[in-house]
Order: sequence, then C-alpha cells, then structure tokens
Amino acid sequence: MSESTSGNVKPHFMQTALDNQWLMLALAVLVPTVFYTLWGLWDVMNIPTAP
Amino acid sequence: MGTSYTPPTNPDWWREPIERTEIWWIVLSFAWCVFMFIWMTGWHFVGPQNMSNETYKTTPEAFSKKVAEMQAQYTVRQDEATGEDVVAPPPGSDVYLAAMSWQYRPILELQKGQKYRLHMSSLDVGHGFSLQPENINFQVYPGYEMVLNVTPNKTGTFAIACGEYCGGVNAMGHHTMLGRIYVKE
Repeated sequence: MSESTSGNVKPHFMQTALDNQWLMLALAVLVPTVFYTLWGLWDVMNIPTAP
Repeated sequence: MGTSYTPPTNPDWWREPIERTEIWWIVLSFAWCVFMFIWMTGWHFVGPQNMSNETYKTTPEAFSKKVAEMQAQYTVRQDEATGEDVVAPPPGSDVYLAAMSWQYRPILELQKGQKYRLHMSSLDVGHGFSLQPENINFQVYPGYEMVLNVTPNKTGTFAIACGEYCGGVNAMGHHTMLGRIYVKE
C-alpha cells in the first residue's frame, strides 16, 4: 500500500473484478460448464439420424 | 513490488504501465493460443492423424439390418481361417462393420486405392476399433453410427482388435474380440 498516489482513486472495474475471488470462482465454474458440458450436450442432442 | 504469490503493493495496480517484456510475453502467448486454435482444423488435412468422421444416430436393429443387406449382396466367399463371410463391396460404396460382444462382423475385403464410406456401430455395449498393425483407433458406441471416408493404401491382412474393455456378464470375451480386413490390389 505504500505506493498509493491517492487514497481516493476508484479502482478500475477490471481490478475490482479480478480482485473478487467469488467472481473468479463463479467464472471458473461457469466458463467450462458452458463451453464444455453444455456445448457438448447440445452437440450430442443435435446429431442427425442415420439415413 | 510484489511477486506472483503476494497481492500487488500498489492499490491502483490495474493502471500501472505494463513492463515491455511482460507485454511481449502476453502478446506472443496469446498469438500462439490463437494460432493453435485455428490450426486444429489443419490436423484434419496434415499429418498421420486419426481421420475425421461423421456421426449419426441409429439403433442396433437398424444398423444390423444394413449389415445384413450388404452381407447378402456382396459376400464373395467364406474365410478359410474363421469360416465367416467375407464381404467385398464395390469401390465407392457404403461399407458396414458391426461391433458386438465379442466380434467384428463381417470380414471385409477392400481394394487398394479405392474410396469407401466405412460405417461402424456397436450392437450392444461400447467397443474399441483398433486396426493393427496400422494402429488406427476409434471408439464405437451403440446408438451411434460413425462414418469414415477411407482409402486403403496398403495391401495385406489387417486385424481389428477391440480396444475398449467390453467385459461380459457371464463370460469374459473382450480379449477374443477380433475382426479382419483384407486389402487387395
């Protein structure tokens, strides 16, 4: 904290987000769930029937 | 100055200028990620990778019907070693190969340099298609029909072994589960 230039500077929203460990945990669960599990299920459900 | 194990000492760390070498590491590693992502499609065309396949839904009944129709139409002889039907479908046609506990049927006879659409499915549980000695491996599932566009490029006798432990309720036949493909000129 010694390098702070001003105590009133509002942190950048990206800093606030990256410092929020619960948000990071939620994203760590959500992103693989959407791009791996849900995408995979959607893909399997859309396999066409053999002619 | 902090380390990667401790929080940044500057409470407004996001607005700190990024050191030049760090920027380069970020740019290079991100560019490499993007390149590798796009290059995934390249492996479908370059290198001795597993072939890309099409997948369809089917049923064991529907698939065994297709196998039986092909077998009735194109059986050319009985295999000397096993007594099983040897089926020689014409080049360019759809070829059906069924996996079941514990065999791959029928035995296929293909021509070198000719294209075939090889359909595979399981009639009961999950099996593995392992073509030896080429070492081409796929999983074969019940309920799904996998289609591969294949062009045999070597003549000879090729063995198919089950590469997925398929066990059995009253007996253990996985290790005896074999099939055969003949490739002729």
